[in-house]
Amino acid sequence: MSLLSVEDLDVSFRTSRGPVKANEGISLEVKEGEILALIGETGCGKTTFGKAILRLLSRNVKLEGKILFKGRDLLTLSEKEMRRMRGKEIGIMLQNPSLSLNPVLSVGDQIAEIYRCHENCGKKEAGKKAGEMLELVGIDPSKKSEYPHQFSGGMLQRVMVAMGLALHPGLLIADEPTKGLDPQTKQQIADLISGLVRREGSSLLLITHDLEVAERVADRAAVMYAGEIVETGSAGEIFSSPKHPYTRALLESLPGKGLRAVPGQSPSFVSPPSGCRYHPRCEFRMESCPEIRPGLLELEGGRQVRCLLYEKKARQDTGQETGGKTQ
Amino acid sequence: MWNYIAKRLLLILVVIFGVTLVSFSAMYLAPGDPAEVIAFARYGQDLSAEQIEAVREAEGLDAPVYIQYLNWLEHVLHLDFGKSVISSDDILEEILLRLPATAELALASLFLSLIIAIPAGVLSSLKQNSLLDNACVFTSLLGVSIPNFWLGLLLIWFFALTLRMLPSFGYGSLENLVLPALTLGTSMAAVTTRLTRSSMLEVLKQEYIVAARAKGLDERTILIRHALKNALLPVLTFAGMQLGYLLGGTVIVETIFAWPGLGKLLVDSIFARDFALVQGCVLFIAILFSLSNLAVDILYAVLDPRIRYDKHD
Ligand SMILES: Nc1ncnc2c1ncn2[C@@H]1O[C@H](COP(=O)(O)OP(=O)(O)OP(=O)(O)O)[C@@H](O)[C@H]1O
Ligand code: SF4
Ligand SMILES: [Mg+2]
Repeated sequence: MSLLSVEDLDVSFRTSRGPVKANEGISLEVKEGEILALIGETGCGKTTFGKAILRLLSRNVKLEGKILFKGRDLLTLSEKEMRRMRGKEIGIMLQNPSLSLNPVLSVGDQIAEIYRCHENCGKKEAGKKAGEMLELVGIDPSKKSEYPHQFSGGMLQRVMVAMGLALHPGLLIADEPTKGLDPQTKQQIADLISGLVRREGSSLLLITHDLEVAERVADRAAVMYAGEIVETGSAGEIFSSPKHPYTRALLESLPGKGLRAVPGQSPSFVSPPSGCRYHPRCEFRMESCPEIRPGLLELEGGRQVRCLLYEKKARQDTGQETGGKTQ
Repeated sequence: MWNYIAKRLLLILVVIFGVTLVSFSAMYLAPGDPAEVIAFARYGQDLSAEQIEAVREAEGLDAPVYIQYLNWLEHVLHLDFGKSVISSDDILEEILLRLPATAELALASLFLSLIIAIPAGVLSSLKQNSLLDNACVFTSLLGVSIPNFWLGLLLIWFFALTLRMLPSFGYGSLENLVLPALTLGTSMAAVTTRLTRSSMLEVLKQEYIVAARAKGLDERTILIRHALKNALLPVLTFAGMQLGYLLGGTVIVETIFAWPGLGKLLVDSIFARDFALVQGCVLFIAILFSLSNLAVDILYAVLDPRIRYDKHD
């Protein structure tokens, strides 16, 4: 059963340059107890998606579509109801802990305030729980009176884990939890998060552009490009046999596989490329690619891909004529 | 933290040393011969050259300048600021006599400015670009542009002359304090409001505010615990600097309201060519200013853990 089910979500920011459609037509599910990795290059809209779920985006945003959590559409909740969701039902570890932690409050206080707010705990009890949480993520509880600037990058990420999981939410959203860490710390943090989530039977939406981390912990993966989902499927299949040309290029950029950066520039959100958004950079581009906008095509085995190559193939397979318009 | 305080203290000592040089040279920068000024104060008109020379010798004014400076410095280090050239009163005593009036006015106007500026700045930032915000921005712009002497006169005209509610000058009662404090307080509030507003706007953009919201905290907690605590740090520094400045006596306002404070003492001594008193005032005011800055630095360290737990500690 799916815990989170996002249906046809559009996220656009009103800016002076015109609307920035940072997410478009996103449909994505996170099942109960599942770890889903959302991968894609910098600026493709991953953080926007993560924050949109908890309605944490700036005021100039417009959200359309449905975000169903346990069957309730979060976009229809009042601000007060939404507050009760945040932290309690859905925890989030924001990208960049050194900016996301308040510099003038001790890390212990920043965890404890979650208990004080949601569980009406007294100061002492909340402090005790915060200490336990720190211990759980591998930090000496006596460090709870220290301040963020006294912690290393890996330790800060651990604090973020403690904050995200403080109330044992059913879903944890982790935004780039391994960014900027050395390879060893990266693995430790990835294992810590996935281990705790698995132990609690919670689900995890792991937002990352680190494919190795995604491969290491995820059950399923979704690939985002220019604000759209271009491929989904089980993590094993996506990493062993990627279908979308972008996913392939992305995997070729892995250190183990030649370290070839995806060629070309990231597209603009204000005036995105026509037709398939990947066409200016695609190795397999066909004549129709700049004109026809590919839909998300269901393949066998629960895989989805957004590419005209497969639409063509599917039509050929079912004996239809080629060249017909797809929307 | 001790490290930090020690560093600040050292810096202040250097500054004060510089100030002694500057205030000492005030005597020679002012036009006229110091010996003549003293002699004139003692013997009145019709000075003979001998009288002036006698004074020069008696006061040690014939020694090389650096010797004079060192002599003066030695006395100052023993808290002996010398005597007024004109009245022969002890300078430090005279200054300490004026200090309470200045301190009273300084604290009252600072307090007034903060209780206006902080709520106004915060509200303004929370309702950015609203009618209230625009009104705040406009009023504070107006406040910044109106000079103190004009505002002071305006207040005298309105409250003292037209409404006859408050005395227009003098010192002693609470009623006397109202108009000068209002003059200084409102004009300082104008600047502080703008600072509070922009500091709040900056803090509200920070990611830790989003993070606080992501935890499900209510807006009040976010505002007070997360935003205000950070946003008030620069406001505090600024208020401390204002206090230092006010403690030096506010020449214009003290003059308009005949407020017997340090500022008025300084101005009077300048007009009287009482260079010893000028020296004493300048030095004393500079020390007060430095000390109040030190106090702010310490308070800042107490409130901001990034300074409190300096890596070098
Ligand atoms: N508040 C905002 N107003 C306007 N545009 C925004 C806003 N927030 C994000 N964007 C734009 O939306 C796009 C997607 O940004 P987002 O942060 O979601 O990308 P990302 O995939 O998380 O990138 P990264 O890997 O760098 O974290 C970017 O082009 C960004 O400029
Ligand atoms: S639709 Fe065309 S351009 Fe887009 S990914 Fe597929 S082949 Fe490449
Ligand atoms: Mg991001």
